[in-house]
Amino acid sequence: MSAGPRRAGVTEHELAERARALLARRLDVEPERITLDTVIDELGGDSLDLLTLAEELEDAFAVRITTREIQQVRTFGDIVRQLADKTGSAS
Amino acid sequence: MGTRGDEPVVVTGMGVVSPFGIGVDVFWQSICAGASGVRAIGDLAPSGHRVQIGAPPLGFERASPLSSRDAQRLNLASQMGVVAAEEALGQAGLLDAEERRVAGVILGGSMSGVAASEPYHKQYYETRRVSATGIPKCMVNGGASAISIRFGLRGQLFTVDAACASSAHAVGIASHLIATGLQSIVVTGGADITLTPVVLESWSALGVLSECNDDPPRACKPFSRNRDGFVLGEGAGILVLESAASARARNVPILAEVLGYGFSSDAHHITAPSATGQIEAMEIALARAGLDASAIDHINAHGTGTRLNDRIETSAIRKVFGSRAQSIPVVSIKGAIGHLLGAAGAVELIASVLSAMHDRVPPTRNYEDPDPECDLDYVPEGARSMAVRKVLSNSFAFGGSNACVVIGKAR
Repeated sequence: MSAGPRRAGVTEHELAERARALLARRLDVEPERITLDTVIDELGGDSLDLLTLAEELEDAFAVRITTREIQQVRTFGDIVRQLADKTGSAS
Repeated sequence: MGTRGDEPVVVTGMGVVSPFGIGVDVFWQSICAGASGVRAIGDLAPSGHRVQIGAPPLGFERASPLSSRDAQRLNLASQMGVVAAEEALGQAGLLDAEERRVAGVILGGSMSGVAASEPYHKQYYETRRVSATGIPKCMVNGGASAISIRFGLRGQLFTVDAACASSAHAVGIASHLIATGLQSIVVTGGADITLTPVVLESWSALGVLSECNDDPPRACKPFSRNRDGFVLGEGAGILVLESAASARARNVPILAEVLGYGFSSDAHHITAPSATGQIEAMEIALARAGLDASAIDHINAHGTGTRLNDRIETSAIRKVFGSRAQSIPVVSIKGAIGHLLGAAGAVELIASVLSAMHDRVPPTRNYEDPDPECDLDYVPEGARSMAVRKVLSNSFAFGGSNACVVIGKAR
């Protein structure tokens, strides 16, 4: 996965918050239940949830997430790291 | 099921999602009261459509009572099927019972896949991409699968498509599987969606839809001389069928018995009906039920409200029932709820079961102008209380697939 252009103003924290909200809505869970270490599978999320989440993340962050990349995701932190890498967000 | 040695097949649960809302009770009370579920659908049909009326399911309105996660991966027909199945399984005492695990799911459906695919076609042609939800949401077996998954039913699982006769065939096949011992319990029926722009316009192009946009509740007029076609409806009807032995062993109330299933194919025309095929299907259903035509108290007709169907069906009923045809109440509930296509047969079978349970026949709504070619007793005046021991339910489809099911009062 290649790093995207660095964008001013979007911190990794802000990015994580937006991604957390999308994931929470996708899985019908409270956002507070999701931390970087949360395993998606343990929240009841499955491969179809991840694929549709990837579509929403692509729209929200104007990035491209390949099917292979999203299938490698295990924790919420994996998602945030991929997004930070693609958007070049500052931590 | 009419053949010696076969296991009797009974109905132990029913669930409905209809233009009157969620639940069997509101459906039955509404059709008996002569209410209409047909309304203007400016919110669904783009302006410019010749047809601006339909009978969408009340209680869904394009937003599901299920979770947003379910709505993401199940089309509206599948969602309605799940809701109706929950009601039916609840009535049958099977939501938590261990016996549910052997149950099959055999549904009928027709338009749901095509209708659900419309937004994905748009997405593809605009962006050259399609969401991962496309296949789960458009697969015609999605509804049956969703019921199996949600309730843990692990028997046979498939969906029958025979256009407007789909769910009647599904119930018929389910009854045969039980009668012959292949399954002891089957969740069957159908769910369908029809009110999407391309599906609506495609039916409209065939000239079979009522264009009575100014007065939606009076649009579909089965058997009436001034009829001008049917109204597309959406909904789901689910029945729990099981062997009489299974119902007895579980000690659950028996609502009615499935006595016979008759089928035939017209081998005639892709859209026009044939009396010959309809006559054969009715006669086979009666024969399978071991009944003479004189035993039928009531017919729940296909009765679409098109010029051709109602005339042909009337002539077919006359041929099968002879001089008795005149004295059998023949009812079409499509004037009240529209044509639910793949779900129509199942919802009408549920009405037939309810007639046998309550000794009551709903009216044919909007029958207002007698047609010399449709000269049977269509019960125009309102619901009629009468002894209903045996009911014949007719479903006749485009493409010439005919399905007739005989229901008997619980013994």
